[in-house]
Amino acid sequence: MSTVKVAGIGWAQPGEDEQLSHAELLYRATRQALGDAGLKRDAITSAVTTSYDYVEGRNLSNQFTLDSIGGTMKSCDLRLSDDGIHSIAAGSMEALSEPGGVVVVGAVQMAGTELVDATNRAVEEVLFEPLYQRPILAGAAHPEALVFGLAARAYLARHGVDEEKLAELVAARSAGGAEARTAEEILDSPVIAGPLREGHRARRTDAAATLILTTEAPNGARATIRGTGWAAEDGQFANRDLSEQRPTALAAEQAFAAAGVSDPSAELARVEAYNAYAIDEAMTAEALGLAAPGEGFDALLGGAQVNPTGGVQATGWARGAASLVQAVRAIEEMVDQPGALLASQGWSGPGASSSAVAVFEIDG
Amino acid sequence: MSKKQRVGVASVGMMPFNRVLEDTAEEMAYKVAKDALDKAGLRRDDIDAWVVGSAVDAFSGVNESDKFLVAGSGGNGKPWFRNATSGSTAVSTPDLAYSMVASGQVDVVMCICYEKMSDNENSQKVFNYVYDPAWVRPVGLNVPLQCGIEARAYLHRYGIEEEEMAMLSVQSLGNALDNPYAQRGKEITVEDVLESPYISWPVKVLDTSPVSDGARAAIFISEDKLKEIDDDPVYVKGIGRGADSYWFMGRRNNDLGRLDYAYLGADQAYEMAGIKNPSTEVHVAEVYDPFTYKAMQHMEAAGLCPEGGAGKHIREGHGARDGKLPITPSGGLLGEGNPIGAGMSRMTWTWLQVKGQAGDCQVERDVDTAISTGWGGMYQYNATMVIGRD
Repeated sequence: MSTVKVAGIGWAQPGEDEQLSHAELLYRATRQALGDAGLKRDAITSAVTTSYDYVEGRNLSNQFTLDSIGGTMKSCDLRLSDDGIHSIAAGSMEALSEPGGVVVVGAVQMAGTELVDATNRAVEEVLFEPLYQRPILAGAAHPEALVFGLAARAYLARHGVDEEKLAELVAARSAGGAEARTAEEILDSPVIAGPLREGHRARRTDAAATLILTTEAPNGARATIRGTGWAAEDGQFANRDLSEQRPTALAAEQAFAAAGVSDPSAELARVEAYNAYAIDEAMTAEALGLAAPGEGFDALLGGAQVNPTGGVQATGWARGAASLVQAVRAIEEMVDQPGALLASQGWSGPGASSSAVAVFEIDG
Repeated sequence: MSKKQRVGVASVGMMPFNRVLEDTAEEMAYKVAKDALDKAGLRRDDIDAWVVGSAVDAFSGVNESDKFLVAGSGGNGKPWFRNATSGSTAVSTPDLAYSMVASGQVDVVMCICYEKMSDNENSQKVFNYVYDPAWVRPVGLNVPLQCGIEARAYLHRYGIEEEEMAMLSVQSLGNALDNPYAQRGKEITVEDVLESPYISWPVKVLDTSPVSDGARAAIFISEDKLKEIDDDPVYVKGIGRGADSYWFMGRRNNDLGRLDYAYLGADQAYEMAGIKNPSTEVHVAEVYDPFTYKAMQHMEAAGLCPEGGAGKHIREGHGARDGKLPITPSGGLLGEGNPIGAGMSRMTWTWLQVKGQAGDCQVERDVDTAISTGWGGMYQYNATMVIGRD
């Protein structure tokens, strides 16, 4: 029986006014991670990266990652069109299938450039299939937000929760970060997909993160991966119950079973949950078993277990890479908590139709 | 957490390829998944996880296009990944399915590779967006143009004539006549190929695989589970993946004529399979052949013939169905059609050959060991999979 270790971690964001390419940003994160692991490029045997072609504005958008992560003339080609946490699940299996190998897991997103603002609507629209969904979204200024708006409405109506909770949660989460905004500012911001307002949505940013996974970590490890889970539902959002995050619940069920977690509220020291639209964080808390259905907002506002540093509402949202950045930063911050369990979650797909969860145990 | 376990292939799912299919991508996925399940005697509930592969989202015009295949593939509410490495999706996706089972995390994986290229009017425009936006894209490079550059380097390096490329096309299109899933089975002559128009010298129309729609499925399964349903089990014996720099003008060997990364992938696969001499130990090969010269490069990288000797292998009849080492007896991408992400068809045909279920495409010799290859990325990825019985 083998376990997968996180031998090294790294993350990077461009400095103020710094002009970096995707390749340079991922290179920085990977160099950090290799240095952290005490490994050199030669040790790398495989890689799993994640990227979305349309968001990147190029097809086969992972190709340059090979050079950035030191993967030339190695088996470093695997690329998922999913969230970064999915790559932890795939990377773990890659490591377990070839014990002794060193697997680079990474993602980078340049989502904060001025070009993205101009094209963002089109990119969001093509997230939906053209025959049934796209015509419905054709008039929407924020097509993706529209689905999360529907989800928020369904959730609030089903559980009788006031929409002010959304603003309260975002205000609390963003308070410590560069994107701080008050509940009043959020409620005064324009509606993008009722009840969601511009202020509810995380601000886009650029970031990269890398984890070095291996079954053998002679130089010590940051953490041990205790379990991973991932699941998807139909991308046709009309076929799903939008008032809950079933893919996250299914992913958590797998990950917690593998990790031996039976009481997530008591056993998880920290949870990093995707919170790009606020409603997703409340639903995730419930899907992870941290709150009863309809009690997600109260549990989140009254506790410090989930997103203690604010998640993407505080740090900015680098789609696809953000969940890896959150995981890496949490592992970094939990260095003095050996034995503590961290769960990281991320979603992909239209209206979070796909989700992944990883459970880490911090090494001493 | 998990254990490493041996991996086999329970069945494959097939459907005809064609230039324009009425089926949606979801319907294609349903067809091949159902075919694979039926052949294996398995049900949807027996599958632990799904991994799907397609080359690029822009063919369908849908970002994260795989998310709309979830229900049709039977994967609703189940673990689901999508791998996308362009043409090498053909083997890198089955490789991922292999890793999922080998890791011990799951026992049965449905692997589906698909592409619906007819949704897009201009596949070469799509391919132009593969290139770096600052330096290469503005030049207007596309796949045929780059293949011309690469083919010239290959022919020059080994002193190969265009006629040898043509012979491979004649063999493959002829083989496809017996393939019930092929879109371009055709009896042609070397002269036909040589007289077909150049798309990018020295590559001609009949050196090139046709644009296509289609899908393939394969069920990867743990040894214990496989033995429960199959008394003639076929196992994954070896896998290997090589990758070189994104910058094709800066490859390690500074020579586009020799694919060092393909040699690397094949070497890994053979080492894992314990194969010392592939030209005698491999009994049939389905090599990735979007262009005739690519098939030749891949034959050589996989050690099926000496370096620079692919043309001779075909010329002397060794690659025919009754030859000593048959090459793409199904007709390959050249004859069957090339829905890019569904290049896994090469791997599915090796399974059919080992099982003796290849119908009129079955080779004469006994087959215990077969290989398939894939190629993709920015002409930078290559993968090899060895399957066979003990």
